[in-house]
Amino acid sequence: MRLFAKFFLCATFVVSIALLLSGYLLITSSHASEIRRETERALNQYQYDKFTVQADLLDYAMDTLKALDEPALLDEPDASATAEETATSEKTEGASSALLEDRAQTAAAAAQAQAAGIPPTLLDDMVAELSDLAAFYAADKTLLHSTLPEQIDLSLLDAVSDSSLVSKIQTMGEKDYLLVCGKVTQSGVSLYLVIATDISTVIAQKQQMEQSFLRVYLITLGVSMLVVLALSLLLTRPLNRMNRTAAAIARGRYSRRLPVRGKDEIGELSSSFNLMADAVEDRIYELSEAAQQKEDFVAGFAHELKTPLTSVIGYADMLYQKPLSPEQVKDAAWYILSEGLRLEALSQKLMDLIVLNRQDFVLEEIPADELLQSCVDGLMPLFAERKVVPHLTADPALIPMEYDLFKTLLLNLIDNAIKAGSSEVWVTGKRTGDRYVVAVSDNGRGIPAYELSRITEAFYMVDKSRSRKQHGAGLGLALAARIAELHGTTLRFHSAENKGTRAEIELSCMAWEAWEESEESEGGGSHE
Amino acid sequence: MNKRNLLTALGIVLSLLIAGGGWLLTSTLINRESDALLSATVITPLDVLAATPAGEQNDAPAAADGTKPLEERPRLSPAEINAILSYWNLANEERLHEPFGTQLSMEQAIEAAQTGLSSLAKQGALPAALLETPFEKPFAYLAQKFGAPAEAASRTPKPEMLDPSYSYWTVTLTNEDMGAFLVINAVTGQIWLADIDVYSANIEFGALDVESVLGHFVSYLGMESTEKIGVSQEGNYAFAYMNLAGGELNLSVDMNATDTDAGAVLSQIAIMLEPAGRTTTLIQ
Repeated sequence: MRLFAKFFLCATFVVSIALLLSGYLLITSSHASEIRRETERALNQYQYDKFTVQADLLDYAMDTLKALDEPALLDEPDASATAEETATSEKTEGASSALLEDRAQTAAAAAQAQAAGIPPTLLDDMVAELSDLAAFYAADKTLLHSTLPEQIDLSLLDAVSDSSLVSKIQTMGEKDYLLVCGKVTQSGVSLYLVIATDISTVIAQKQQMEQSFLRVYLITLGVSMLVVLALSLLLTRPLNRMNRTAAAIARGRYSRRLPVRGKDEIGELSSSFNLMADAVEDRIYELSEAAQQKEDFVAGFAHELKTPLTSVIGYADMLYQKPLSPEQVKDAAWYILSEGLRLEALSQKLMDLIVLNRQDFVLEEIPADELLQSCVDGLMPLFAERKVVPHLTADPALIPMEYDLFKTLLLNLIDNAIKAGSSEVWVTGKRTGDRYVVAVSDNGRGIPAYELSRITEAFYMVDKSRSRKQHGAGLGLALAARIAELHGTTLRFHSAENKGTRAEIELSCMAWEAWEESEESEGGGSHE
Repeated sequence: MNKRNLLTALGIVLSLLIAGGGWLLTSTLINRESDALLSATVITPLDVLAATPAGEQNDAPAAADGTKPLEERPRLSPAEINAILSYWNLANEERLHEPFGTQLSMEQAIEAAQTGLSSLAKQGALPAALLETPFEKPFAYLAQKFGAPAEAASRTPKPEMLDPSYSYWTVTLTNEDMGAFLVINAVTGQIWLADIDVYSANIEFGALDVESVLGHFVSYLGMESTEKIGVSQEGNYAFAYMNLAGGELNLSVDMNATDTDAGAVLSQIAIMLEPAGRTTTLIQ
């Protein structure tokens, strides 16, 4: 599952639970609080109504007592009295005649007797004075009078006692009523009083709260889901960018980096990612460099093998093919031996130069003229094969050099001169003051001016097809340039198409005579 | 990739299910809670027992008090009356309750009201003519105040009942000539406030002397006053007051008149006993 979906799921869960829990607590506590408040109000109202009923019963008892004291009133019944009241008063008259000795007991007995059949008008008056719907039940739980929409559950009356009230919510008709039941005892009369308060609005209010909350819940949840979705996409965007960048780096685009915005965890991760990418890129570069160096070494060494091998093969062929004088045999053997030794030394030095990038080769003072002579002599078979006439003029001088590498440089220059299709090659060494210029010139095809700047690049060949035919790899001048750098100088090329090329290298030198003088002053020595 | 997208879609669907299912569950729980609330039968003890500490018995059960005549009822000292009246002034809420302890029953309270008015009329504090016609259906209720600032600060929703003497009966007596609203102490049966509207147009405003009404009421209360009476009379309004019991209490009488063709006739008498502004200390 995608990360933004996980964020979305978790946030929805949390928001839903929080909203639902708060809604549940809010609605239930509000509803309970409202019911409690209505109950308190109803209980208070019941108490007030109870006093009203008690007052009415007391007043009725007092009137009854008064009627007992003034029997004449009984002869003139009130015109507005109902037949029941008349029957009641007649009953009272009949009872009073038997209980005249104790007026209070008589009144109480009369009241009790009347309670069994309290005049309906009195009940009507009592109910009319009450603020809510009400019902009266006799002590034996028979209904005396009711304005309630329905009969109540009589088990409620069983729970009523002298010291407690009972309240319960009951649906009657289409409305909900809070019933409060209690006992009313006054002047010997005992009744159950039930009042009913309409609390349908409270019930409806709870339903309205639920509906309102549902609306709020859906809107809040919807908005929060959208916000969470947007935020999660926003938060995961840097991670997606990181993913894409990592993929690009894996595909080889090592220079790709992440923008670092802010100092939060994402910013820190981006910085760390960039550091890692830097390290990877550097490592890749090092490995590429090493691989390239190895490749260059192999190519360079293979290239350098060719020239000496040509000499070795040439001299060996000469020994094999022709009868030679002992002197010629010795010379030939010497060239073979020296080239073999040179190759042995050269392999290590090329390794140092190319692979290890070593720069601290020891430079020795070498007689330049002898070196140039050695180069020309070593290539005589090649000259002969290619029908090239070599010319050598070299001023004696001592130049600081690494012998094997510098000889390799010269051999490469002479080899190129031969390969340029020359008929003659001039190898010169000219001393001017403390500078010595070694030059190799030819009268070959020359190099176009626009290519002169590139001829020292590795694997670059002016005429690829001809070079490959001559087993060239484009490495000779590259290696020669590196060797020149090692000696603290550079190669210079002058060329004209179809006229020839001149390659020269300038080094510091010491005159041979000056060197001899210095050697003599130090006690002498010989050079190689 | 398909599996991941499928899981993502499932996750979103699950979110919606949690949202919808959660609401259904909550609604069910709310309805269940509501049904339990609506179907409960609540038994509420009357406030009578709340005033009686557990294990103790009333010294004078209500039945015994019913036979004790008014003149033999216990008396309260001026300091006690001051404390009660001060508390009544501070507490804003009222709760009705059944008589408990040494309190009057409804019958006794109505009798105390009628007797008190008769007594005042005999002494000349009230026009006797007002009491000539019998009273119609009387009404009375017993209540005690609560909600004084100290109680409100303690956030007690409904504090325990106080001493029986802190309750009062309000008695309404009406006849053809007058309508009286009386506040009677629930233990002593004394009238501490009387607000009488006079309907009869026969009583001249000057028939009653406000100063003497004050004096008669002091006698009714059984107290003595040694402080000078303050009197103010202007047009159809007369007012008198005095301090009682060494400054513990303050008694005032207001009288109003209405102009008629026959002259200014008495329309209202208000007699009120008040605390004299001392700090309230509840009677323990």
